Amino acid sequence: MRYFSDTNARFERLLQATLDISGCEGVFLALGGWFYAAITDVVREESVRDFQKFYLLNHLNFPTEQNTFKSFQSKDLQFYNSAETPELVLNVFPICTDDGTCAGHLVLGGQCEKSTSSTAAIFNIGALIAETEKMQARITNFEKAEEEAKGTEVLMNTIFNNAVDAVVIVDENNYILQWNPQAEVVFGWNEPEVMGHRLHELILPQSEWGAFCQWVEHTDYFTVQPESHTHEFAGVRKNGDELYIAFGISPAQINGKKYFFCFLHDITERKQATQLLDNQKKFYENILNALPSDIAVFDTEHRYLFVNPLGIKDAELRKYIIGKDDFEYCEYRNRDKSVAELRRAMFLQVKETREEIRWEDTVYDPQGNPKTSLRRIFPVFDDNGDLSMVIGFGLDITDRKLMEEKQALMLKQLSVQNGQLTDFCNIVSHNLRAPLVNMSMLVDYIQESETEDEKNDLIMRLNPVIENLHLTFNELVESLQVKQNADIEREPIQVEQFLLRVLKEHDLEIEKCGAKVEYDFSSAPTIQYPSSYFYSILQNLVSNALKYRSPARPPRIKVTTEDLPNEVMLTVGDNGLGIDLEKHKENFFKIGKVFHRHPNAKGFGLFMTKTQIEAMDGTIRVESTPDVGTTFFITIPKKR
Amino acid sequence: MKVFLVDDDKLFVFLTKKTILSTRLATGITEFNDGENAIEFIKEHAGKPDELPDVIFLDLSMPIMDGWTFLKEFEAVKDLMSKKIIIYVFTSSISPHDLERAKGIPHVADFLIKPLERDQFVQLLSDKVA
Repeated sequence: MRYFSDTNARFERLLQATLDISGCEGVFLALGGWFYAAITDVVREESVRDFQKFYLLNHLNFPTEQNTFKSFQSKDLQFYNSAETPELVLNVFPICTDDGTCAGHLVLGGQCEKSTSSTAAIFNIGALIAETEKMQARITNFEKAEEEAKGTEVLMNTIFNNAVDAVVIVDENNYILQWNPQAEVVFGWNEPEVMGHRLHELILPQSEWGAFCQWVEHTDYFTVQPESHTHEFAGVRKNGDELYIAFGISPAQINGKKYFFCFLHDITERKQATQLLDNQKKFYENILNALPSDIAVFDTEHRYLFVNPLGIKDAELRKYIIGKDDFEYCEYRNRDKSVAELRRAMFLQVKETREEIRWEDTVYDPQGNPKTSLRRIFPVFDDNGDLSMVIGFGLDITDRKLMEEKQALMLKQLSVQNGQLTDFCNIVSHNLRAPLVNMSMLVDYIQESETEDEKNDLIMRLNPVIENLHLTFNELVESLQVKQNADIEREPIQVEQFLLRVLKEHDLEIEKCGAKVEYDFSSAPTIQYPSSYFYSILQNLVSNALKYRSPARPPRIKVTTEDLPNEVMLTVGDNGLGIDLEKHKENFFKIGKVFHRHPNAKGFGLFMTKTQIEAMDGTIRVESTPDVGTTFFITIPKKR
Repeated sequence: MKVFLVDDDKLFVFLTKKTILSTRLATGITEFNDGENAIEFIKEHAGKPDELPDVIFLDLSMPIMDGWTFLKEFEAVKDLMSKKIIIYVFTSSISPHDLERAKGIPHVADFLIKPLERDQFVQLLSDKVA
């Protein structure tokens, strides 16, 4: 029965030699704790199994310590495997390697004890076995290593040659050592062409060399590179085409030499796409930023997606606000949140109604200058008709607004002036022309008159006409002067003093009709006004009150002033004839309008009064009831 | 032919009356110094053709009731008139605005600018006679 290792005939031969020398019937070899081979002719099969059992037991009981082996070496142990086969003797010889470790045991079994003379030979054989075993182990290790190395190389080559990226290995001076097929695809150079060239000089434009060398220099051999250790460079192909490369580099040190493994990824397309996007973004942003309006784009929750510099000047704030709402912004800037509330209400309205809102709003800068914007806020919907965003923008229409206000003012002035012009036209065509017509008719008749009496009568009639013409002409000139004299100086006027002067002028008439005049100027004793105008106004109103008195009662005239926040109110009231304002409202202050069958009514006074009041930005209005009385209310602004 | 002169300018009325009388075409000339007197008279005598005028010379600028108001009031009552009354606006106004306005009123026969010569009155009044 044989337990051979098929692979090693050498052991078998050694064991056979041992058997021959020792004269034993059986020999066993155990290496590394396991039976390795056995040659036996006589030992019964069960004895071998017993022996195996014994050996295992023994080996475990005697670990491979030096002492134990010494005892093995100094004394050849003999074992009797059992009572049944007392004749079987086992001799266990340790197999020691050069460095004294026990590699296994050689066990001889037989019915005799081993002869002393054969012991040395057996030890020699043990040594040979140890040597063989060692060699065998070495060969095995070597073969294994070789196999492994071979596998690694294949793997490496596979990776290197099939890499998606260009992979280039350079030495510490950037000279190319290896150049994979993808590198050829990317750069157009084949391997033989690049050998001995410096990598950057071959694939980068000169402008990038400095940056590249600096980057490589700072690449540490001994620390793990962070993932971001990738650089983007502009590159150049063999045919001169430009491309963009993402450049990854890992340093390595092999047998004391330094290398760089370079991984190059062609990102031209990505770069171009990014650039295109960037350009587009810039293009639209430029437009949005250049538009003379403030623009803000909100998401469906009223958070800012975009705002242009006209919306928020400060770049930091502009960046801050993205993703936030007006409330956060107000809080951040420490502003009153009423603005945010107002805008939120508008936003919600747009969201709710899905319709835009337009409005004008005016804010005042710290200097008090108004800034008026035409604002719109409108919803934008996606293909499904869902709200995708809300855009708000405001157009600065301050200039236009101011212009409009100016125009409105001018229009008002124009229409007033136009009205006055019409009045003037009436004066010229009527008040002046009428007497002229009369005069020319009179002159015709004078020429045709047949008797002296008739002639004299006609000449007599000429005088009042000329007088009338003269008066009208003077009044016309006076009112023209008021219009032209818009810059006339104001001066402080003692109202009481002026009234007394006016009354003195009318004292005869006042006495005749028994008029009573009351006045109270305690609230505003002084008024800033051109004195000639003020006198004329007061004179006109008082003389009107006297002129249009009721025949049924003595006139009572009341004149007061009242101090109001922005103006002074002058009131002149009477208990005279009064007038039906329903009928005459439109014409009341017009020139040449007379409402009474009264000999002295010329219709000039109120027109003058109104002109003199409006020239100073004041107003005049009238309340009147027929046969009860008339009151005029005049406001005089404190400031122009 | 009965003529009404509605005008507040007494001198002008005096002289015009003189001129019209000299034409010998008018049988009677009545003066009114404002529109209100005139329209009240006409309303009162609407049913009496003998009292109503054939021709009215109407001034525009008058106190109390001006010519325009008179025309408006007359418009309201003209269908009650028992006689066809011809109204001439007779004014010293040379304002084109007044002229346009007067032309817009259908029962104004013409817009006459003061003064008129005797011959012109002759023409106007004899046309009516014919």
